[in-house]
Amino acid sequence: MMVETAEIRENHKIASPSYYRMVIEVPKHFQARPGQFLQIQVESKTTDPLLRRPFSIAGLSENKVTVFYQIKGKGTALLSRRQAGEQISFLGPLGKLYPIVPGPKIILAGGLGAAGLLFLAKNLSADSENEKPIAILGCKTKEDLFFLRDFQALDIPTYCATEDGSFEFKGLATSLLRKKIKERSKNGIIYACGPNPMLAAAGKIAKEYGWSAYFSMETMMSCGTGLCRGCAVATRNGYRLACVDGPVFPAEEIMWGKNDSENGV
Amino acid sequence: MIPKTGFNFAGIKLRNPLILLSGTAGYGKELNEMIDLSRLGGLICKTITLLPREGNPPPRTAETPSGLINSIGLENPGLKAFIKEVIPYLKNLSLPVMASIAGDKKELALMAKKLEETGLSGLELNLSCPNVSGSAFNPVSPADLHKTIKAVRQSVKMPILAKLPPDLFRIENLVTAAEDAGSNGLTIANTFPAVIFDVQKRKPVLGGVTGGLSGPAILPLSLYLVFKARQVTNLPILGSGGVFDGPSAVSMLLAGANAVGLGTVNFFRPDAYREILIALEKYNTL
Repeated sequence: MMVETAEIRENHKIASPSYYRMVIEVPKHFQARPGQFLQIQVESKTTDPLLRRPFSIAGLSENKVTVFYQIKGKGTALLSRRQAGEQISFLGPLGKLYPIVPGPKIILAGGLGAAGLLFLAKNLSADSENEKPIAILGCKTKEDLFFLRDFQALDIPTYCATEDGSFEFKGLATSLLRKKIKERSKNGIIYACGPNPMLAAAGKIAKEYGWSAYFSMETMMSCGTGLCRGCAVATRNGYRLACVDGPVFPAEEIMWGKNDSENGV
Repeated sequence: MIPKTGFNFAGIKLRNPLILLSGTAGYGKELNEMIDLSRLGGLICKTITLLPREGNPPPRTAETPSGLINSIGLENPGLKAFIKEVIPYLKNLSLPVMASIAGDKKELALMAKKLEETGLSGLELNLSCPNVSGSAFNPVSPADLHKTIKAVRQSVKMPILAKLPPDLFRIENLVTAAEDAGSNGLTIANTFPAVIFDVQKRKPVLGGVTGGLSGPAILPLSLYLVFKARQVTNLPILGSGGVFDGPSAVSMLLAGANAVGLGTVNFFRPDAYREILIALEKYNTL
């Protein structure tokens, strides 16, 4: 892994209030697998913001990487102003993969957590040796469901849960998860990314039904490369780093009480 | 001066004056996969303590304007694991490596002795980590600093660098104390004690509550400390704090440093050394 330069191909708003999709053309040798992420330098001409920002790889085809983001602060605001044709520096691919194991699979995405899971869903849907997954997308309201078409295009059953009931299932994504697990007899695997309270609840459900679960943890990250040891995740084996030991962790290893309940996903 | 053949810094032969600073370069492995370490002068490992430490609870870092506050809390595997598992790897790296150690003076002397036997190039005494409690780790007065460094000096012959606290008002006294105690060189300085609040939650951001500020935000303060230190000592100085590009590195030499530390920049521009080496070459030939 080296410091790399890519060319921005697309960078535009895809939904309100401020959701963006960016496509960058990466060097030919670049390879990545679902679960991995990039550390992108949002702007090279300033030291404020100082740090690169981590983005899940939502797709990779023909040397083009897709990432999704929401404007949350100074960094993402600057990134949203970058134009197609400009060069952008990134580190990556970084982090560990979602492990692919046999059995029924449920992809559980809360909010922007769907980004990295879209890459996983695409690979699983094209994998003839593995059972096709189903996807559950959880959001506050139907306006946030901008990933729905991307998942549907993969030809996998996709279900939505909106907290306000404005689209499909009314309630939390984890309530829908419980329902879908009950409909399946065999023990399976949950792949999830989203707000920590959602992951904590999904971890409990997985345990209750004897399913295994792998969660991508989103934390404040400074370097993304294991140098600063900042992105600590409390696990049963002590603190582990989201950037190099994760971001994907087996659910049963995560100590929920010791991790920040608001991870800003 | 930066002779093409390398130069002697506090008894350690460096290829050039760029040194990767403790706590920002891991134990060499991560950066070795990212950049060409043979282009750098030296590397100082993340600080180790006698016994392993698990570090502070998250969140451990927070970004500030042109800065970074960290509260890692000296997470490390301890001396025994460092010697057994890390040093064999370090010996294969293409640059001189120093260990960084923290503890009370008895622990420091003991650790220094064990590390001297491993053949590492030198030792940095982390006398100023803002993220551990207990004054034994942080001898803030010149007299305590003197006692601590003296204890290590009596224990080993290998080159030692005292990493001083960023005490803007007493830096000259700290420098003199470190020199009198037999330090071969000085690292000036460390992160500045800092705290930041989450105004929505109305509480401190960091799990460890307070932390240390680094990054370009502290550059003028680090330059001040090096500048003041240079007026009272001829010891080699590793200028450390806020260097991120060519001009900031040259400023560190102008302030009086002999070597230039690369710290937080490794997190956001791990390849900054390329530009900095070009700037230093120009500075030397002008």
